[in-house]
Amino acid sequence: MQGKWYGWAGKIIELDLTSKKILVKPLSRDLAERFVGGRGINMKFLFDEIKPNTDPLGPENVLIFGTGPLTGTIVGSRTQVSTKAPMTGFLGDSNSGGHWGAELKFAGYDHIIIKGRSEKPVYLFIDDDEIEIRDASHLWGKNIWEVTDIIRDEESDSEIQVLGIGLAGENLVRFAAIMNTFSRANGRTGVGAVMGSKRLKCIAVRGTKGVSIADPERFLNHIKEIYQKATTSPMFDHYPVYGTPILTDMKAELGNLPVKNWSDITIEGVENVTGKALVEKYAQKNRACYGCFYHCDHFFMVKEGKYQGVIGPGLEYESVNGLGPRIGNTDFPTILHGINIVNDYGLDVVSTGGSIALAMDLYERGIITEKDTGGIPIRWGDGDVIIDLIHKIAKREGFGDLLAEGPYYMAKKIGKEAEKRVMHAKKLDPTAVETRPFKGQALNYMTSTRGADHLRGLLKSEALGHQVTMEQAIKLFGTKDVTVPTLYDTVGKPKGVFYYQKLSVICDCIEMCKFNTFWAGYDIYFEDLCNLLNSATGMEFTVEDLDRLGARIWLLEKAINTREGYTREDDMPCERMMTEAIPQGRFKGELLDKEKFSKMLDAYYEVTRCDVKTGIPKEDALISLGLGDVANELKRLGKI
Amino acid sequence: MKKIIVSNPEKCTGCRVCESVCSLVHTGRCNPAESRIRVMRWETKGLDIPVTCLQCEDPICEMVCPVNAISRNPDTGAMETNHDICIKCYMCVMACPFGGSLIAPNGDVLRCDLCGGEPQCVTLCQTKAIEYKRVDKVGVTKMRKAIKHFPSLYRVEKSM
Repeated sequence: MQGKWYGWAGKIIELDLTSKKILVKPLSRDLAERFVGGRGINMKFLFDEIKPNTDPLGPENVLIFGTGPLTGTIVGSRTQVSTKAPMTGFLGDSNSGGHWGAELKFAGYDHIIIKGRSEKPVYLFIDDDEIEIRDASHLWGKNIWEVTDIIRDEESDSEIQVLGIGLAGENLVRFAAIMNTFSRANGRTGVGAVMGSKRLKCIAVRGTKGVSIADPERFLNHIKEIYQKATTSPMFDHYPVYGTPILTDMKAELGNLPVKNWSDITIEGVENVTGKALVEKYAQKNRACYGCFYHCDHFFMVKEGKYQGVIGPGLEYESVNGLGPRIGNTDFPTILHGINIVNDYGLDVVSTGGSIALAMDLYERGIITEKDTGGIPIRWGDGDVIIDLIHKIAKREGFGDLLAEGPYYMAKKIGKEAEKRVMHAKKLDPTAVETRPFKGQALNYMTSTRGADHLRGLLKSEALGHQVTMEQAIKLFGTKDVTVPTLYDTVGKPKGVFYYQKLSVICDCIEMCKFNTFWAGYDIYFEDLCNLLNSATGMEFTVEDLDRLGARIWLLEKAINTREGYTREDDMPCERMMTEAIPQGRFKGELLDKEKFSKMLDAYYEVTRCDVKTGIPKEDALISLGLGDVANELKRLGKI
Repeated sequence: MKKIIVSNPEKCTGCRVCESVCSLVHTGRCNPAESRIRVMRWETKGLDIPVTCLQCEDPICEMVCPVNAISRNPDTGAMETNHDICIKCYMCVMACPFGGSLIAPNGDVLRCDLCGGEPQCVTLCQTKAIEYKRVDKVGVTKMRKAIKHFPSLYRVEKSM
């Protein structure tokens, strides 16, 4: 296939910050066919560009930005950032919405590969064909909202989209995020610290070329189909009204809300921090990422009290839990003020909450004292302390310097007693999903290629039948056991976990939000994704092709981790999840049993065609998925 | 009766689906820079305001056009540009008090043509932040909205 690109822009930018060299290369058709885009192509670049044992914050690390063929159309806004992660030493990867990815496509580029390190702070400016490395000395030391305003003012163009780091990234906070559109975050695994280490402040983009669609009429008809399916679904009264903060309401009722560093599942005053409370008291209106009619974000305003006048966009369930119940706080205005600062500094709110939660837990237990905290008592839910700690983390000031390491490394520095209190998978602290009662979801968290995370796949059938019917579960996974959370089912759950892991890969490759699919309960399935992808690109992907794409990228990600020393042990739950049970509620007594979990893991490796003893992808699996070169490399390194 | 595209900024989410759809149906590209409708956004203030041609009753664009390239489509009421005649002097762009006439990256003048009477942007605006309405209803709808709490003051049990 030659000639004009549809869906894809057809070009990638390669930037070496050490030599200040900018290369614009054509995107290869073969790459687009086999890895599609976004996360898929990013992973291929990452595998090819990074040598094992690279220092995540060294100049040899590579930072890759990727959009997909649907980014910039009427269903896609997403941008993927991939690198070697400061938080884990394994694969670093994070996906975000917003308007930046679409603007990059409009300028005519699919991916940006950043190598090397600049001596002085710089930023990249892209205006269609004009690409320039510019001095950022006037932007360094400023947070992302101000930086965005400055660049827009300088260029007299309010349509410029800015993606970059705040003080957290500059100060190499291990879990710094990369922000775009003010409050959208590529949050997880510390991608912002990598950007900071390269002294790249931001990438400002303006584009006027647009995304060409192969069959505009057919594409628009498919858009109208999914619009109809989604907006007439009962689920449209859920996230599109309350946003993800509605999860607090659901989890509080179900008995799996992470509270006080995962030591409880309920908290007094939880009704103050629910999705319903957000909509009734603080939300001014719904907001959306580019090209999305789900509008699950809100613009909020605090109308009275200490934080009167606080306004902003970009509040998610993870922000509410991370700055709320997980650190013993049920004052919504503190959360809203807190998330604005977190976003402006460019911090991952999940790990920010994780670090503060661990610190409060250790303080309340006497494992650390005021000697360690700089004289401040850090008690559960103390709003002023929470805000103070956020500032200190971003600036790496005093006690904040320790918290800036993230829960895992922070505990390691404090010592054995602290290590017993930390929750993590592959060193990454979990997003706010209590997986101890949900054995399938736990299996997903532990096997996730970037560490504990629900956006790498989440066995939906386990949420007590919610979103997946019994009939569907039996048809897809062969047993109704997949709908019972507490069962260590070795037949259906390993299959189900991989099914959703592949779905997450597919969404992240075409760069369509998972919330626009059956993931969030809408009747939008793989066939619909194929229809959108094919009518936009002019290609002929089948459902089987997408399924193989899911498996291909998943095993490629495992290969990247394998090269960094991944073993089966890295897929096992951390000590605390296997020894401390949920104290009360419907799931009282639930923890992860080592033996039983291990059996599920065996079955999962069979399903994913990995070696049961090592967890490493098998050679024939890699070859059959078209990853012969990857297999050769792992062989050369003696890994398979 | 004449219909126009009405903006309800308080409902606009800033998603720009309208921009994407408009450019897609007119050019085959999803490209806000070629859209006839634009959402003015102040992200940190929570303001999103869709703006497009208001199809004025006394259109200045038509008056200032030196080659008479702009005329009203009698079926839809839209002020359309005849691109064969247009000399791209952009007088219409400069004269319009609302920015209803825009310039595309290739230099063409862009103005909402109401998609021949079925504006596609409106069909996919989920929150109804833009609506295609008969002009005589625009004000009345606002009136009704402004006094919507009155019935409850009068203890009317059932909603109106």
